[in-house]
Amino acid sequence: MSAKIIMLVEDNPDDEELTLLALKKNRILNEVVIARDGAEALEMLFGDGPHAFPARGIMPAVVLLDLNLPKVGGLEVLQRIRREASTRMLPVVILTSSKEEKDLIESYAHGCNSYVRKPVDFEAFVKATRELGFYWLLLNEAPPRKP
Amino acid sequence: MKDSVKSTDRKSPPPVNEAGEGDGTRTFAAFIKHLPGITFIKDAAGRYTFANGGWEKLFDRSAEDSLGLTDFDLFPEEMARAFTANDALIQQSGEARIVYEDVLTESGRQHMLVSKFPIFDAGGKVAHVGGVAVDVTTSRRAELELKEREEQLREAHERIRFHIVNSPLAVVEWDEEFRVIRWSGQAENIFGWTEAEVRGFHPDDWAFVHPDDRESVAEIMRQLSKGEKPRNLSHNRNLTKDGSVRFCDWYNSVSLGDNGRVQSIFSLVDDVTDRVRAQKEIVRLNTQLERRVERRTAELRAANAELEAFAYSVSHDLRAPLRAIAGFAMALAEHVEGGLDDSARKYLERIQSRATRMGELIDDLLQLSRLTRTKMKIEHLDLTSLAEEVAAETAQANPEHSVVTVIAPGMKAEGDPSLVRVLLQNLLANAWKFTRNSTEARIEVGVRREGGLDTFFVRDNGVGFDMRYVHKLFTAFQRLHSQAEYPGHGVGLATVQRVVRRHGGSARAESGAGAGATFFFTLSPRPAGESRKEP
Repeated sequence: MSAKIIMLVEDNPDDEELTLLALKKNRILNEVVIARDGAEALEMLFGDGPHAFPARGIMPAVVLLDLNLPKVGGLEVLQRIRREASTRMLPVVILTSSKEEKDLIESYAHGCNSYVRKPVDFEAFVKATRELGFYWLLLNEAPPRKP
Repeated sequence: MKDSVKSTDRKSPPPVNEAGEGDGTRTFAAFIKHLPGITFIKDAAGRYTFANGGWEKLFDRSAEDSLGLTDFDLFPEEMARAFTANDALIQQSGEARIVYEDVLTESGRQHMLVSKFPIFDAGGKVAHVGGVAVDVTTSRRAELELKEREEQLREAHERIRFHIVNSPLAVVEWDEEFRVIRWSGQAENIFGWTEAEVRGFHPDDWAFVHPDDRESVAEIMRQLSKGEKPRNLSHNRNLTKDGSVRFCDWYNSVSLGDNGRVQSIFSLVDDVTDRVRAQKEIVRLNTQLERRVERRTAELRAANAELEAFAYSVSHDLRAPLRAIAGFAMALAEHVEGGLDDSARKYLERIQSRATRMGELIDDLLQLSRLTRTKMKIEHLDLTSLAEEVAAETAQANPEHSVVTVIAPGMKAEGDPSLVRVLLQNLLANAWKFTRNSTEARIEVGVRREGGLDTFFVRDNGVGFDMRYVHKLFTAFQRLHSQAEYPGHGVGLATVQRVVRRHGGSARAESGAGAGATFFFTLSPRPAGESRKEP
């Protein structure tokens, strides 16, 4: 199948399952790699473990990042992604509960590519997920890989 | 009269000049005549029988022409009376006297010391009054001046005494060794010690200066007694007889003697204890007030931060389980699709729709709290164009419902643009909603002057509301219409109320059921003095 991997950073198992369900309902069958907190996400993106992206010689096509995360918060993960050369151009979509202006402003200030608020209505969430997948996996031209 | 007196009296008493016989008498007469003093003789009827050269000089008239005339013939009445009164005394008592007589001449008033004496006839009766006068004008004047000076001095002294006694300031006088000479009544009032108790004492001799101020007071005294400074001011604490502390301002000045040495030191003392205490109290209260404001501000800041954290937490944590409820209900519905009967499916749908609605309620609640949390930026607002924009947006969002809007021109206000926009959005959306069933829906936005304030209003001809429940209108989640009739969450007018309150204004509503509703609001505080009318 497509080599485009979706990375989901989410600590809430309900939300994790709902996101997977929504992806499935939209027939987005790409590989989904899940990190359950910020530290795990950083380990996957920059660590030297056998399952980490560097060892696999690949990077995710898009990172769906929650803001409220244990250990290392979502904004910190985002900052780190933008700081490292290997991930600087990685598309990051903030996927969170919050509609607080503060969260929106800070997310964009730290260089997220888009900001999606998880709606309570599952139907609406499915629709949002469809649009996300459509844009970031099909339409968007990925940045050129580093040599 | 005068003439008759002259002619009749001339003959009778033999004038001494003529009567004198022999060398002795002539020699004596010559002496008398040329004596630098003034002498004269008058007979019992007051007629001059003799006057010497001195007399002629004094009165600037010849003696010869004056003989036989009386004082009344010769002088002004006042003088004549005084002279004859003295003569009468001599005649009656038969004794010599020394009297003062004032003579008014062209050169002014002259004081004469006159020795008047009787001259007896052979029968022992006083036949003549003789007089020898000396001009004592100069010494007399000096004497009077001295008297006058003494009087002035006495008055001045009295005046000073009056001031000292009545002054609110205590007066203390010290000798050159700083021992008390004088201690006024007011000093006694302030410090409790009487003059008798402290006279002759140096301030160090008794517990008078506050121990902590001894050093500075010693320096003040040194400057004065050494003559380094003619005057100075000391602000120090003193102790009273009963041991209490008074704050005093001492205005000191040095009095120098003729030799240029310090003779005494004069001090005026102002007891400023009350003033000092009041000032200290003011400082203390100010500090207290500042601290209280600081504490309140910190509390407020903490409360705001807590609210912020709470809202944030609500936004994140309260919605997550709702998402799970709605999401899994839907997942369940799909999972067992074939195995669900109609009512089971409806139950699941209801779970989803209620969870969704609760999500919306949470959002509304958050928006409401955001209204109070965000900082305000007050600007000049063109309320007319703002209302026009919002009305156009509202019309666009409700294309199925046609409304005639009338917006007054030239409405101006001061306010936060985004908050006022939210306010108008809510009021207009409200008006739109409740005119849905009106045949000719009409919404009016205008302003009128009430109690010195611009009072804006949004009026519609919709269903209106029951005035009995008007007090519930602006409370969050209170609704006066059923969800089925007019759907809503009950936060619109609560939002209006918050926006208005944050501007210091107020909001109220009027309606007759079925007769439309009018919502009034102001965006600034009522001017002082206006009675407050709660909506």
